[in-house]
Amino acid sequence: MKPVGPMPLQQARQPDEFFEKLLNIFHKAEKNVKTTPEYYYKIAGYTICLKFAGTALIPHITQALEHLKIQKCNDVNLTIYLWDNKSTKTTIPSPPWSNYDYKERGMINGFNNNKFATTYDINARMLSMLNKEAKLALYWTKDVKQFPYYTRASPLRDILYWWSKTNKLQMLHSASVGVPQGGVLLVGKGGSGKSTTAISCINSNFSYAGDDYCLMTSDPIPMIYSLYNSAKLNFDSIKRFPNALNCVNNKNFAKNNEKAVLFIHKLKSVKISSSFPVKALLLPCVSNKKETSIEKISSATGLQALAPSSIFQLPGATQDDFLNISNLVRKTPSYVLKLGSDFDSIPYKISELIKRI
Amino acid sequence: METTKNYRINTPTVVQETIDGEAVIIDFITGSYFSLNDVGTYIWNLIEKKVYSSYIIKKVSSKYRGEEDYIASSINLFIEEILKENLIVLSEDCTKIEDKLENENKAEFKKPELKKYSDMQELLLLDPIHEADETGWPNAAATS
Repeated sequence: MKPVGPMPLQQARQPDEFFEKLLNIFHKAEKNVKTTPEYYYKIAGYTICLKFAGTALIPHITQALEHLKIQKCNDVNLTIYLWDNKSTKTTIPSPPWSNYDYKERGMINGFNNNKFATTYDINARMLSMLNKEAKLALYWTKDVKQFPYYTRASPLRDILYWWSKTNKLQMLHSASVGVPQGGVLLVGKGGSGKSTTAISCINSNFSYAGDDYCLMTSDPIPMIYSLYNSAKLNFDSIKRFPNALNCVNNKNFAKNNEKAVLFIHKLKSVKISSSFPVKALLLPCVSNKKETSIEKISSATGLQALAPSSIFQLPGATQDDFLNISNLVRKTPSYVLKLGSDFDSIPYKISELIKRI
Repeated sequence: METTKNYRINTPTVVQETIDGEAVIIDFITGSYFSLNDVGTYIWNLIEKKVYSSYIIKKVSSKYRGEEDYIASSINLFIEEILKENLIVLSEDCTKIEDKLENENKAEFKKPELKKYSDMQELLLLDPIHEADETGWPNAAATS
């Protein structure tokens, strides 16, 4: 049985000390490279600043956020410091935790509390750490060349998730498309057709708000806020959208057995929206018919499609996340989107639904 | 189900919401999630209110139409099932609810059903055993 009571003082101070140490190393990295670009973004009405030491990380981080970029601004809600060891010729100390302290979703035992949130992604070899009180975050890797291809599609996800919670925003695992009057969340587990449905709408009157993750508030009315303009499609899906092939980031995706990562902002004439009201939850599923159809389903089914896949991906998710998502589902009708083989009919059917609700 | 044993929802590990008469339950430890049919949800909501076990069968029998023994045995099996899944645990703290037993317009009793989904469990798996480099930072295992 684990001992109860206050954490030993030495252990309690560790996240503070470690964060401070790393921030000092970032400043050393800045001095080494002499190139310290800053990027500003507006996410859900809040300004975020990314400060890079050197340029090695920039192509991996900024493309997915390009559609939210703004001019430099003083009213910053979150500052993230990003660097890698290799290009900045710095090193960081050994982790102040043991091998036994790595938990699910990369969380670090003892480094996640009311003030700090910390994950280490062993596959991508990157550290994310947020000081919630100071609204400062660190994003470090040894060598950017070790990044898996998919990290470009949803960069800084852990940091943005923790930060969004401090601002009463809820991150969802969902795609989203809409028109100014309102849009839909495309929900369900991987392979259900969310990305394909979202991409099929981009040549119509719809705006694109995301493929994998977005932010949400449900009071007073459900609203969605775009996070990434990326999309990930498997080989069979992307063949259906030849225009999209031009904006694939990982050109050798088929050869490498990867999903194609696209940045939608590179497609001319495609609208990307930063936010819109949510009118419905749609659960895509493949049908064996030509025409696409939509049928009402229970809210419980909608909750089941949205909540687990959101919650189990988010490091440190708690009951609050589930309650937030439930609140959204209570306010938003749920439908199954039976996808037909005629892809042109998909945006039309969704548009009809939005007008009807 | 021994009517002398009482139960409660296994919070905070287990979270749940009942929407329009259907319960959706999530287990944060195992990564499994569950849904209940209407009868299962009714029983679940009684447990959520920490109703005495001895009262659950009476409440269900008053709400649903069916053979008493069949109702009792179905409820017992259901309780065993959700107990086995660690969705509920024993509790000493129970309440007696005062609302009257419903006897009018009974719906037909259907066996309470628990559906389990485990497709998200892999998201909670720990990373495979890894090595650390000379600075102590882990590398992914060679097979991953």
